[in-house]
Amino acid sequence: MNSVSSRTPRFVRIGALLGVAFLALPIVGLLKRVAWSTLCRQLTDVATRDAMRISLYASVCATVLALVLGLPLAWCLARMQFSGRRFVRALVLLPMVLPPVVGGVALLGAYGKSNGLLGGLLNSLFGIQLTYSLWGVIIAETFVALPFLVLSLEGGLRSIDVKYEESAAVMGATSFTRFMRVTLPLLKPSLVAGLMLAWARALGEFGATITFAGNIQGRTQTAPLAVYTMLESNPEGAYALSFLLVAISVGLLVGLRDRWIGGSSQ
Amino acid sequence: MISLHGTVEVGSFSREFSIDVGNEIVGMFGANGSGKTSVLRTIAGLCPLGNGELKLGDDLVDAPAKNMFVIPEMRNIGMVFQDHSLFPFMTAVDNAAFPLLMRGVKRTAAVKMAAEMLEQFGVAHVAQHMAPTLSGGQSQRVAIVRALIGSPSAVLLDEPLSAIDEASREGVRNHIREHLVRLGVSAIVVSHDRAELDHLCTRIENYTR
Amino acid sequence: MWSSTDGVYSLTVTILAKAKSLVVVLPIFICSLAAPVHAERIEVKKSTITVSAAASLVNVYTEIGKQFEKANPSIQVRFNFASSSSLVSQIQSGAPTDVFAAADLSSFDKLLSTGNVVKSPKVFARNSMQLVVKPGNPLNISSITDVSKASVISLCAKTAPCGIYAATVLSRYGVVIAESKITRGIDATATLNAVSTGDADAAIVYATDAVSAKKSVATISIPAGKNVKAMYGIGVIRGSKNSKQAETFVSYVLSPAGQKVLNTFGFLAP
Repeated sequence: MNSVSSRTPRFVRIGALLGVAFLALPIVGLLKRVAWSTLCRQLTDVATRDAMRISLYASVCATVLALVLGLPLAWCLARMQFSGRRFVRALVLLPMVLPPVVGGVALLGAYGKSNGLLGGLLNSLFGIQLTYSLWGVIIAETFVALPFLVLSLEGGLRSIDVKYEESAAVMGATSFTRFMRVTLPLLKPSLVAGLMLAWARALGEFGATITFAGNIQGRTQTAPLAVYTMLESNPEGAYALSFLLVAISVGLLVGLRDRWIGGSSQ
Repeated sequence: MISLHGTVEVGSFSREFSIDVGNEIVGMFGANGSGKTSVLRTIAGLCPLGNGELKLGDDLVDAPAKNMFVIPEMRNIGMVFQDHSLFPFMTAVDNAAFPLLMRGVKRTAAVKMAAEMLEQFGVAHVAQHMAPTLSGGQSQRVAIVRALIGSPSAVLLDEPLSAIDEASREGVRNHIREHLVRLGVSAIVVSHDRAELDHLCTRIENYTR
Repeated sequence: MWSSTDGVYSLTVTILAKAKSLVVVLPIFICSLAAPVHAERIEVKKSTITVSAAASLVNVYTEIGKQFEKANPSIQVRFNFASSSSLVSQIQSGAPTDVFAAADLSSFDKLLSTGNVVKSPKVFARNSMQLVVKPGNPLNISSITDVSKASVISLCAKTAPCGIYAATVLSRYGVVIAESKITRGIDATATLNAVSTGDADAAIVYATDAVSAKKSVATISIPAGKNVKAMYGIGVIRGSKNSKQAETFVSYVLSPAGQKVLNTFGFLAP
């Protein structure tokens, strides 16, 4: 511990304080708007309960789907040599840079019933409609959450020293066993961080959800959509639900502690 | 029985090797970079031969000309790696028991056997410690146990005593030799310490080139 | 042959001579700026007004804005389109607005009660509702009575004017649609888009929006007896820093020129 690196310059400290204030002030402002006396009543309102139920269910499903699709993708990006790798990586990052509403429009183009590439086929062959359904919510949320999970997993896979898998192989572990018993435990920090980030992103999605799955109370109206809808008609309810979402986010971050930066916990 | 006659290729390193090991402990002596570790990795199946043939027992396990290659998990080899490579998320005893679990031994029996063998090598007191918390000498002993425990048909040891303190070396050496003799297997020991090889091995090959 | 020093010297003399004349000309020039200029293209200081307008006015007001700016070169118009109800919230929270144009008059009642406007709005147009469906009417919906053939119906928010109008139309027909079949758009435009680009089967939107959607939807008219008369109001917001220019805009919308544009887009006269 030398004196050069351990002493933080004053201007850096002030800058950091400004950053903290910038982030903390809106949260404080939001908390001030909550009508604490009616909080319980607002949170148990039908629309709010529906919204939370749909949000929690859809975001968990979206996270699982993101894992199913994202883990193989991360594996190939981290460990396979193939042409078109840069293209695949750009594709994975695309939902992160696309404005969410644009993402929703793109999803319509693919999975919409009317003229979607695949959606039209699904509808004419099986009568399946993905839009305006809970599945539509899950698809929209998976679309935006997938990149977070893939990036986290890819980083984790790259950082695993292959020597552990090698020694496991020499000891007789088949590739599946190696994956389950060696790779996954080593991947755990990145996996947990990636899942949490993906889940948080899915939970907070608005633009793609409302464009693709619509805003049907009790069916596709997620918590963010409900907050927006209630802002004019029932501001108290909007603030109450916002408070709940903030509380969940804070809980999530506390649960992650330092792991989400990708380094070891300090 | 280990019989390797061919070119060992790892990355840009390429060298002809010819080695036959019967029911004996053969030492490979040479400076770093002469390819000793690469030979062990090739025998274990972590790197394929460039050309030539590798036989374990009567079985051909690596012959590029015949398009033949047996993957490491099917070769039944016990190996002590230069940096031990113990799984960091497991305890010492779980690490030691791993080869048994892979051979189908039930968990309780495997852990019991592992604990007994750790005792023999003087590390029973750290059996429940997580691998990263072990000292160099302790983790090396656990690695040795792990290599010998699964009744392998061949044992490869890469600098197996480098981290063991001077005073304990003889004891550990004797235990290793005891086990190898009891198992009746072919073993190759790689080291840059000539004296150590003299004490442990029945024959020494020189690879100082 | 001119040497460089000669050149510099004569350039300096020329500039100084010009400068002397500028000293005389400049004050006259500045004074002339203050006086109203009609035909000369001199850079005049522009004032900007912010007009918050209902989403259903997006096309017609953009056009009115262009024509207004041509007629009043010193005023620049900036538009803010959203649902009337969310605009009311914005204005009540202090969003800087000079003019507010709403799709109903009760929005102004709310602003009157909170003191954001001081006088009643002027009605500048009327609108009515229409039922839109997918082109070709695949579900064969003939009127509001069988709108429940649609599996998903797009309406505006319950508290937005177009949502209230739609609810009125539905109640006049005695039709009740289950909430689980209704998707609520954030404004009138989004409500229509659900049918024109999305997968909703039907929507109840403003007649003017149905017209501008052209071939992307099929329209089913709602007879006048069961339809609503949407009264669009416009007014200046209290505390506007450009109230004079704001009043100019309001007058323009109410003038024959503004009314003509409204008519072109399908709005009815007040």
